[in-house]
Amino acid sequence: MSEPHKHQQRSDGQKTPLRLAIVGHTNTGKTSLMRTLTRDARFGEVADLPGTTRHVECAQLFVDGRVVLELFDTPGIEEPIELLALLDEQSRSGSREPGPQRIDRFLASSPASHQFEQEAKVLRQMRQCDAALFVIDARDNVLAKHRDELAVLNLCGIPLMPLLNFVADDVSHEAAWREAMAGLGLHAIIRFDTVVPPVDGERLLYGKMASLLDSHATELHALVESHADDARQRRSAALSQIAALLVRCAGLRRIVDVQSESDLESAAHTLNTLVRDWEQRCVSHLLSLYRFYPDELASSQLPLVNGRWQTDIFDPDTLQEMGIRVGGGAAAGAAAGLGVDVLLGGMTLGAAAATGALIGGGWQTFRHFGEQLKGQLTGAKQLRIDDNILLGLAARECALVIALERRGHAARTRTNVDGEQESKLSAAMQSTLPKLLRVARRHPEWAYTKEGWESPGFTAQAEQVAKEMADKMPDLNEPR
Amino acid sequence: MGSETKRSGFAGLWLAETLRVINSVNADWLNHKAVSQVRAATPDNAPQTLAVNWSLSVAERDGLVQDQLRWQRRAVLFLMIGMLLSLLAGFTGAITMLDSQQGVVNIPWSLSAILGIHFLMLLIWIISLFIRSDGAWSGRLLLSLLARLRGHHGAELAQGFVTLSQRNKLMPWWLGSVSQLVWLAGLLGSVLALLTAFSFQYYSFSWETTLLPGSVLQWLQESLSWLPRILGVSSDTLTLADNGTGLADEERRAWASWMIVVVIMYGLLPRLLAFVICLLALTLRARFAKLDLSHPYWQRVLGICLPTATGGRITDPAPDALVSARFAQPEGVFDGPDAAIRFELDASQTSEELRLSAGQIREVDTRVEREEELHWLKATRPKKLLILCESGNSPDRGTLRWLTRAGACAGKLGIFLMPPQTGQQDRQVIWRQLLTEAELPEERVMTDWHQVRQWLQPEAGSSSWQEESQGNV
Repeated sequence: MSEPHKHQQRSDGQKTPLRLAIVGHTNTGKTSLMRTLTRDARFGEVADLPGTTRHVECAQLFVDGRVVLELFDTPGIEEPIELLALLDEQSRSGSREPGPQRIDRFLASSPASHQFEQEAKVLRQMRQCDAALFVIDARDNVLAKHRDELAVLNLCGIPLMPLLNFVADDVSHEAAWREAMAGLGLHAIIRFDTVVPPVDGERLLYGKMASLLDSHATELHALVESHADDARQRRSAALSQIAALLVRCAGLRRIVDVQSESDLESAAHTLNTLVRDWEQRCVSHLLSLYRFYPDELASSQLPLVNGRWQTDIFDPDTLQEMGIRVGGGAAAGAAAGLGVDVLLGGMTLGAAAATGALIGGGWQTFRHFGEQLKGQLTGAKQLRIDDNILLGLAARECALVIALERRGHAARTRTNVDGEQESKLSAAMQSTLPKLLRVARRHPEWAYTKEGWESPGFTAQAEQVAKEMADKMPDLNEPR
Repeated sequence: MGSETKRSGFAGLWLAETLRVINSVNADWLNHKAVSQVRAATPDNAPQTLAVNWSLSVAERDGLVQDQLRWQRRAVLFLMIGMLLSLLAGFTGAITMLDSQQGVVNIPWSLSAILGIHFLMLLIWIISLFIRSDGAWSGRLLLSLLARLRGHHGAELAQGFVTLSQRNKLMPWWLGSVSQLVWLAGLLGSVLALLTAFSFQYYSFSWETTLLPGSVLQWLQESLSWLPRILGVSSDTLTLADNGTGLADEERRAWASWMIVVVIMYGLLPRLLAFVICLLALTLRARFAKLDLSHPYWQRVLGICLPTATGGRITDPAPDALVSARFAQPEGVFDGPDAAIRFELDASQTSEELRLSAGQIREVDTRVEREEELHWLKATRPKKLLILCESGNSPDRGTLRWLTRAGACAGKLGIFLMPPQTGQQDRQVIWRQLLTEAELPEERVMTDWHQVRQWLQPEAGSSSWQEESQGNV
C-alpha cells in the first residue's frame, strides 16, 4: 500500500486535491452528507436501510474549475467488534506495532476479501486519503461497537474528524457522543445535519477541517468563498426570474366588452390561467436553478408537490394565509373571486393624473389611457391582475427561494413550510412593490414579450423589482 | 466538437445568445446529455467557454449552426444588394447632376451635390459615437432591418445578435460598418460617373457664385486642394475660372482630374477610414464580448455544466454478494432454564415489564461480554432465549451474526424490539425485515410485552419465568 498522497506536487505544478474519506457505521447518512456537500441530489443511493452503499464512490469539488477536494463515499462498517478482534489476533506482537502496518496486514489477509470485504474497502480507501470524516448518527446510543470502530479507524494513521449527523432530531444523544469522543481524544467535533443543513454549516465544517489540515487550509477557504459566491449569484438569478414574472403579470390586461357577468368571468379566467402557467414556469426555472430535479420532487422538502404549488394563487384563502388582505380597490374583482382588477377607464385616468403618472409616463401612458378612454366611451372594461395577487406571487416565490436555499440535497421527506416566511415577505413588500410595478402596468406589451426577448425597458424595470425584493429578503447567512 | 473552431469567437457567443432566446421558450436542456462532452471540451472550466461549448453542442444537434450560416450568407447578400443599389444611385445621381449643367460644370455646386449629404451624415455618425445610448434605438432599427432576413430561426438569430451586440456595445459599430460600406459604394458610383462623363463628354469648368464674394471661392479651392497636395496630387497650375469659357484643354483636364481626386480624397477616403475604424472596433470588442452569465438562464445552464462538484465515479465496486449470517435450527438437547439478554441496551431503557424470578437478565454490549455470553449459553443450553434489542439503533451485519450465534445455543430464540422513541418507528420495520431475511420466523420477533409473555408460557409443565403485569401494558 502506498503512502498517502499528502503534499505531492503534480506534474503541472498544482497541488493534489485534498482527499477525504467519509466513513462511519452503517446507515448513519454518509451518502446523504455527500449529497449535501456536492449539492447533488442524485449522488449515490440513499435509503433508511443498513448497507445501502456497498462501493466506494468519488466526488470532486471544484473552485474555478480546479479540483480542490475529493470526497470518497464508503460502505458502512457493520462488524467492528469482530474486525477489531481479528486485528488483535493478527497482531502477535501486541499493540506497539504501528496502526497502519496492522491495517495493511489485515488488508493483505484473506478475511479482507471475505467476511470483512466491506470494512476492507473502507480501510483501503482511508489508507489513500489525507483525512476522514467519521459520520455519527446522533440518534444512536454510544455503544461498544462504535468505540471498537473508532479504534480500528484510528489505526489508519490519518486525522479523523467526528461529524454528528441528525443533531436536529429530537432523540439526538449529542452529549453522550461528545463525551465518548472526548474520551478518545477527539475534540474537534463537527455538527452537521444533512437533512436540515445549518446555514453556515459548510463554512464551519470546512473551517474546522482547515484548522486540522493546515497544508490544505487555503484551498478549503477558497472552497467556502466560492460556494458563498455561487449562493449569491444563484439568489440574484432567482430574483431576476421572479421579477420578470411580476413585470409580465403587472402588464397583463384585457379589455372586455362586457355584456354580462359571464363575459367578465370568462375573461378573468383566461387571465388567471395565464398567470398560473407563468408562475409554474417560473417555479420550474427556480427548481432547476437550485439543481432540484423534477423527478425527485415527489418527496422533497418543499411546499410543492411534483414541482407544483398545492394552493392556487387566486384562492382568497391562499392570500389570507400570507397575511394579504383582499379588498379595497380591487373589490370588484376580488368579490367575484377572480383576483383581477376591474377598472373603468375614467377612474384610472383620474387616479393616474392625480398621482402624476400621466405627466411622467410619456407616449406609452397616453396610448394606454387612450385605450381606456375609448373603453369608457364604448362601455368596455379593463381587467388586470390585482396588486394583492402580485404581492402574493412575489411573497411565495421569494419564500420558495429561501426554502430552496436552505434545503439540503439529502432531504428525502416533505415537511410543511409555514406561511410565516410568506407573511413576513408580503408585509415587507406591501408598501413598495405595487408602487414599483406601476411602470409595468403601463406596458401591456411587456406581458406578452417572449422569454429572452425582453426589451431594455422591461429589463430595467425587472432589475428594479429584483433589487427591491433582494432588500426585503433575509440575508443569505442569516440564521433561521 | 467539429464546428467548435468554425464557430468560435463572436459567432459562438451569438449562437449561445440565440439559444438563450430559443431555449427559454422550449426548455429541453435538462434532458440534454452532452454535459460530460462539454466538460471534456472545456478543460479550464471557464464559465463562458462552458456556456458557449454547451450551446454549440445543442446548436449542432438542432441544426442551428447551419441556420446561422445561412442567415449570415443571406445578410451578406442583402448587404451586397444594398451596396449595388447605392453604387447605382451614386452613379446615376452624379451623371444626372452633370447632365443638367449643360456642358459647363459648376465645381462648388457639383462637389456639394456629390459630397454634401455624405459630409453631413459622416458628421452625424461621428457625433453619435459620443452620445451615450443604451442601444435601444439602434437595436430596434437593426432588428427591423434584420427581420427581413427570414429563414429557420431567423427571428431568434436576429434577436440573439441584437441583444448580444447591445450588451457588448457593438451596435454602433455594426451599424457604422454597414453604413460606411453603403456610402463607400455610393461614392464609388459617383467617382465612376465622373470618370465616365469626363471621359466621353466635353465639359468646361466654372466657379460660380451670386451672393458670395470671390475670395470665398478662392479660399474654398485652396482648402480643398490642401489634402490632395499633401498626398502629392497638385493643383498649383489651376486658376479659378469664372464661366469656364476661356479654358484651355489642359486646364479642363486638370480641373476634371482635380474634381475626381477631391471626391476620392473627401468622399471615398474618409468613408474607407471610418469603415476600417468600425471594423477594428468590432474585432476588438467582439474579442472581449461577454454573455450575461448572471442571467437566470445561464445560471441554470452553468448549474449543470460548471462542475462545482462532480460525482458518480465508482473507485471500488460493490461485491457481488455479501456473506451474511442466517438463523439455523439449533441442534441437540436444550434443557437449561430460559434466559434473557439485554443486547446493546442503554441503562435508561428499562425492561421492568419483564420480571425474572430465577436468574437475572444479562447485559451484553462489548466484545468480552459477547464472548462470555456465548460461553455461558453453550454451558447452560436454555430452552428459550429472549434477546431484547434497541430498535432505535440501526441493525447491522455484526449484530445479526452475534444473534445467530446466540440463537444456535438455545432451543428457541425470541427477539423483542424495544418500543421505539418518536420518529424512530421506521427503524423497527428495518429490524423486522432484516431478521426475517435472516430466516428467523416472523412470530419470534416481538414488539409488545403481551406477546413476550405468551411466547414464554411453558409449553408443558414447569416454567422458570414468572410474568407479572406492570399494570397498563
